[in-house]
Amino acid sequence: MSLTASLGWTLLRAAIVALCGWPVAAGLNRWLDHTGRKQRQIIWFCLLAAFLFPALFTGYAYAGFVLRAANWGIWGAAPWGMWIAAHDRLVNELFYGVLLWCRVVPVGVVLLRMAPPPPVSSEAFYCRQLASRARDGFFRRMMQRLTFALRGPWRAALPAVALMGLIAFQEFELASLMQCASWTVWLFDAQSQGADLALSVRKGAWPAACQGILLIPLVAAAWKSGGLKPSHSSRGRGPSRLGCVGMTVFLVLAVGLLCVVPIVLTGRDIGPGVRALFSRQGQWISLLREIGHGLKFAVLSAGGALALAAAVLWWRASALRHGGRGALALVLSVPGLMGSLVVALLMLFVFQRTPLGVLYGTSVPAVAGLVIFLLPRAFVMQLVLAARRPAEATYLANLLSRSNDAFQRTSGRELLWRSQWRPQVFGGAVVAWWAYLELTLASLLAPAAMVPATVRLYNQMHFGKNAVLTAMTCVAVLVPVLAFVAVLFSRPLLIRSFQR
Amino acid sequence: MSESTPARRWWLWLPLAAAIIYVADIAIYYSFAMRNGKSALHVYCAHDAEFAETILRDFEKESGIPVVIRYDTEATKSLGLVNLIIQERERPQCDVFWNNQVSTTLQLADEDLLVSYKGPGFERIPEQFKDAEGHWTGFAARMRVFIVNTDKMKAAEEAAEQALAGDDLSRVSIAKPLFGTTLVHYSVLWREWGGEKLREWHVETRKRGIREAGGNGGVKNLVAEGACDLGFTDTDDFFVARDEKKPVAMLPIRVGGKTICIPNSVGIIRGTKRTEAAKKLVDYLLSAEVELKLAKSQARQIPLGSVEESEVPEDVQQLREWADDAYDLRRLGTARSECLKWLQAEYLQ
Repeated sequence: MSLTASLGWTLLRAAIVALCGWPVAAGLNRWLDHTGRKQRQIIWFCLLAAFLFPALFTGYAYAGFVLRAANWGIWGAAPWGMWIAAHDRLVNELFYGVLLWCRVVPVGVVLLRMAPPPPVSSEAFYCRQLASRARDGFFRRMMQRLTFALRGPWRAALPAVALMGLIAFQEFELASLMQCASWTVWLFDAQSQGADLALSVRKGAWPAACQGILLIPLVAAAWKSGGLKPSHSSRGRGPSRLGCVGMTVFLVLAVGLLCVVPIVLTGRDIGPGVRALFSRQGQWISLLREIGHGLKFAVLSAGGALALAAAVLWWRASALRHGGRGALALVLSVPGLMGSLVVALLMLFVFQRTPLGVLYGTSVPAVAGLVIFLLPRAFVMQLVLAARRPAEATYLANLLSRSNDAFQRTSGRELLWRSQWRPQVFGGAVVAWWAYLELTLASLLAPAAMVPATVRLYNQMHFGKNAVLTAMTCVAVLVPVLAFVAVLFSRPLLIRSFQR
Repeated sequence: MSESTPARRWWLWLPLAAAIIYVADIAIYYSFAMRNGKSALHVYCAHDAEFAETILRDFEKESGIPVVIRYDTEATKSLGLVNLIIQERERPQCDVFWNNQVSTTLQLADEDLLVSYKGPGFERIPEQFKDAEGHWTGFAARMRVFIVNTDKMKAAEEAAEQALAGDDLSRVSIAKPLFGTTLVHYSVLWREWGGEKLREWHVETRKRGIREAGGNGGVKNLVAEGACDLGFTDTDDFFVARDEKKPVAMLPIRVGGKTICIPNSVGIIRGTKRTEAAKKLVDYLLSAEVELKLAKSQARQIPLGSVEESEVPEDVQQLREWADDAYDLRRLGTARSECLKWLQAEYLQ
């Protein structure tokens, strides 16, 4: 398949996934508006689990799955089993599309939650419909309704669909491990053929242009509305009973397909794999060392990207106005949007052919590349975090934290932690998680002595599954999560020890 | 949107924190690289990490020389590492390249990126499997074979030829020939048939519906799971399927009566600052001990030098007979680069 064909196929798939994801995201958003706190927490847990569960693990579990499933027991002898075996490539592509759909919907829901209420309410929209003249032609009436709807109830639809499409378009690990057609896999294979930098940048320009187009509605929506602000008002009717059932089915499907089934498929091997892993002292020490390298790159690059994003968006001394900052943010995001492979090749050129080459062989190229790659996501994360901060409450909590009374000071700081710092920490952790799971940049730029665990595991996954590899993958995924949880839980202890 | 608040301003201190962490990181890195007063040997390894790790760690224990290993992915099959070595030409990071085949090592030799070394390990390998000048040496080989699903067809060379001659090849699978041993196979065909005939065969088999997989592992899966009856793969992939108790058998692939036996290859990279340590590793990899370890591994790789016959597993003994009839890959000459150029135009438009 040529790059053009791969690009077209990826674009088509991303468009279908995003358009199919929109009604589900809109339904979940409405449900969140009209449900209790406990149910909201469960819904959010399911959505975040589906989006943040490592695609590497999911891809590893599903590599060759369709073919194996077609031959399971009596299923293999049944007509549909035989049909699947005969058309396994088509079924594999459809299955990949479903997995992508489950992954992108949470992103759409987050964007919808952050979007401000439209300037045109549903009631105004209805009045407009009544007022539109019946003698206008069908096409004219439809165009008027569409433009009014996009300024009204559907205002957030375009950015949400664009973002879901962008996430689907950029996906690499699942496509690579499940052997599905994608421009990301095509470009990676081409580079391994020795395609020079100029060629790879030229080839990467078209996907970057597609992604730039997808990003424009997002940036335009954010800046036109004066930034993202969470809306606390209820938006119209709640979902019907059937709608609630449908949303529940989606959440079960998403968590099941993306998290539970991969764990079940590989679970049988985890016990023996862990035992075998720990019997080979050299191997598990190497693994822990590689996990440490991965965490180091993740923390450094996430911090760098978020700091740079904050500087561009909010630096007080900046002479740029909102529009200028938006343009600067978009320009700085372009290299990251070209994909991690093109960024890696650019970094290789910079750190091989220029005086900066003295730094080649250190971790600088890898960290710099990761910062560039993460910048678009860092901008979005900073906007989301800013939207969540209620300015008045934060100001009052600040005043309270400077009180002369110790109890009030402690309470103020706790309020600040919950309203301001904890979301920052979680936001930073999400960006660091993305950096930790990023493969291409690390595999090309990390020095041989500092290759992260995810790169080694991805390399081995293409050779096939085995118990030790499954155990290593579980350890590589769990260690950062447990480290983060440990840091969070240690906060009260640290505060108490400082207070003594 | 409000201007910078404390929450936003604190992000701006991160670069300072990052610089402190980075300096600490550099210190840890150099202390790791300089363990026991010796700088670590950097090995780029295209072999399966699970087997290679054990061998390289054993070398570390025996010699006391620390080893840092960079692996490649089966998806790119050494090409990623080879291109990295070429790109790092001005500032080489790699000391020793352990390749899981030989054609890309030939490319490095052509680009004058390998140093000549003829140690004791070199001497024990037959002429056919090493460079006369000592730039690279082959060891522990695997073979190109047909993998046959015995539930679907008979495991006989005549049956395989018949299947390949049929109008419908949708039950036959081959890996994308851009990489690895399939590229070597194509290069041999280019050399023996000529480019024109190979191109015609390639186009015609695609028209007849031959199923292209991402790699030899993919071919193995298709045949082992019954989606295909016959496939072109390597002996190590065949043994994986057999160990999983799949209904498979193998037949040697022959070109002009010769089998295609593809050794691992090892070479010292030009510009290395750890030449003596690199030589020790090369001799270690070319030893009978390592060839026997690889023969006894799941990959069942074929020892090329003389080894204790009683220690060679039964599966591998049969392969050694086939290896005696092997095509001399040194004859490939420019065939590989010409074939690759055509394939790149075919696949990477």
